Amino acid sequence: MSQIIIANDLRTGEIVYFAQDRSWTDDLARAKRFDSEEDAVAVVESKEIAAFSNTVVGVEAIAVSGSTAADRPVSFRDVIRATGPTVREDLNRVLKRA
Amino acid sequence: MYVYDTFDQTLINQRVNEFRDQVKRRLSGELTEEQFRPLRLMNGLYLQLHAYMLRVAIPYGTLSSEQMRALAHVARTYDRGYGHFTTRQNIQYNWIRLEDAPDLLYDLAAAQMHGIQTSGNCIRNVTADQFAGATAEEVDDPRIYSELIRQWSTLHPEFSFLPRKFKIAVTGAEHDRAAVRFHDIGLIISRGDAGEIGFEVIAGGGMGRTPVVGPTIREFLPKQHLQSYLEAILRVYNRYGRRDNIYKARIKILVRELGAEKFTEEVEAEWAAIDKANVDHEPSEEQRVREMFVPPAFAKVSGGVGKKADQSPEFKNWYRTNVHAHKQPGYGIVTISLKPIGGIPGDASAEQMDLVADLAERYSFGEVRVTHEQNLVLPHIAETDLFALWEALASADLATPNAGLITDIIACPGLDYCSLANARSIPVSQRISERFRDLQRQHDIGDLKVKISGCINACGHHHAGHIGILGVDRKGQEFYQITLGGSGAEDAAIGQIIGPGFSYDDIVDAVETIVQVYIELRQEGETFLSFYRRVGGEPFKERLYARV
Repeated sequence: MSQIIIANDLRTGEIVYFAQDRSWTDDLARAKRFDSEEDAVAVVESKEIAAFSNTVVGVEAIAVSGSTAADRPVSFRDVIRATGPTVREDLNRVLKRA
Repeated sequence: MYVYDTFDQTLINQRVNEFRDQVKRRLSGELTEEQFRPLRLMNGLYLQLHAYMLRVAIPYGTLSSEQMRALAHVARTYDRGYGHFTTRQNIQYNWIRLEDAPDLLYDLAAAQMHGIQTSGNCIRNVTADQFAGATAEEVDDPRIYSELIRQWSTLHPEFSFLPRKFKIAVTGAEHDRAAVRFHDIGLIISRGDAGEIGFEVIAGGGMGRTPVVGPTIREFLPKQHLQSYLEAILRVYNRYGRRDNIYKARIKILVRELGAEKFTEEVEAEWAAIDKANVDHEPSEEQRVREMFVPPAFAKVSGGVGKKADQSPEFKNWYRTNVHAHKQPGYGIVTISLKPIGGIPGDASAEQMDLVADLAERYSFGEVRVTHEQNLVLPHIAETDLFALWEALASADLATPNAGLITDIIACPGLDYCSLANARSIPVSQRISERFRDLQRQHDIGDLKVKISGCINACGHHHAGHIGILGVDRKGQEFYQITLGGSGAEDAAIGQIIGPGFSYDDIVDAVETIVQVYIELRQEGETFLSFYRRVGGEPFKERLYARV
């Protein structure tokens, strides 16, 4: 199953994703997609990610489904992380971006 | 209200400066996350699903109006305009930026508040009866002893790295509103044979993965020995409590494994060896604290709520559930429900907090309380002011007339916010609240406490719910297990699992079925809890799991 890498921004705590340009983005659609969990975990544990230890915290790989442009985390927990609390539409990240 | 002395204020000011430096070093890379994490947690700053979460201690649930305004200020300035009052009488902010945390804590310190000991394996914020100092039931004011415990336990060097977290609750009333038997230590203020004041001491209670109704380990402890006896309990726990298994590290496991009798023997032996004069508080210190909790200057009021109030059915509904008897004739204790129908239990906006602060100042001698049931209390309201107060509360959606009814639901933040949760709690509570929104029906159902946790850690106190709901993850799907017959009050009991769980879609219907069984089969005047204790789980099981 496809994977992306998620983390919290160190300074703000906000959810960010490892991007295709190898920076960090708060836009799920720009997240770099990995073909397998092994590939994603290898990057999570790599020196490249370690170099961001003063930029992000809580780095982990999560499973996603859908096309690159419409990636959606597989687990409900990760969907909530990506979108925001289900009980506060005003704080929904996806709606805010739209 | 307790007011910080120079020592208290200096301590938290220094702590803010220390944390400011720690944050600066983390952001510069001088500290790794591994090094920094315990430091931020010691100041109540967690990393949750969406952002940093700050938990602010509200000692024994007591706030001044100035402090409530400071909480509103934090919500407005550093968060997204709201805060969440918790089942430990604290408040949590869900959207804090690490880089803002030092300034935030500086502002809190100016209002004599902080997040110290709201995390970690230490003695956490002490909790107490929210009606303290206002109810006629109480033997003595639990805030006095809670404050002495707060001072004793703050940064106590011997108890800063316990096997696990440690929670103490105090009540002075016969009716237990502080759930003392579900705490690591529970204290019930009582009188000895000669009328002297002391405590019944309970140890080893708790919720979580292994719920236990704590046993009494001492029938009567003279009040002057409060600290030394607590110290003896903590020492025994610190020495024998397990550190090899996080799930067996709470004191309840130790008490259960040793047996209450043996545990008590150990505590008594330790207590006998303690230099009490060196540990117990001076009578003068108790007196100093007591003087800060003297009753306010109540006016001689004629009583009665007035003609306008008498003619308002809405006011009368609110009065019926949200106003409780006060020890002072002509006064009432007001519960401000943070459970609007379909709302998020415990959440309050900055504007609502400001309004409550204003109303506390105008009508309640500047005092506010936070309840473990996630409501607020204005403890001293003249009956003649009740109608004006109600109108003001109603204008801000703070006058829901449901205290103690089925829609007055406790719910932890659950999977909507919490990184430990397996399932959502809040939307389940919202749907139950909507289902039972009809007030006449709520009154017909009567006293019924629904408590919802999103994981086995039980922050939503589901074990103590008359109807308890525990969210679990079953193959990636949210499922909800129901327990019946729990109680956090003086008749403390652990709810019993009724059977297989229900899906997110089905859980509200299941609650409806349970209520319906009760309504159909109850005897005249029988509460839900009494009914359950009389008939057991079978009638509920039959209906819930009936196959058509």
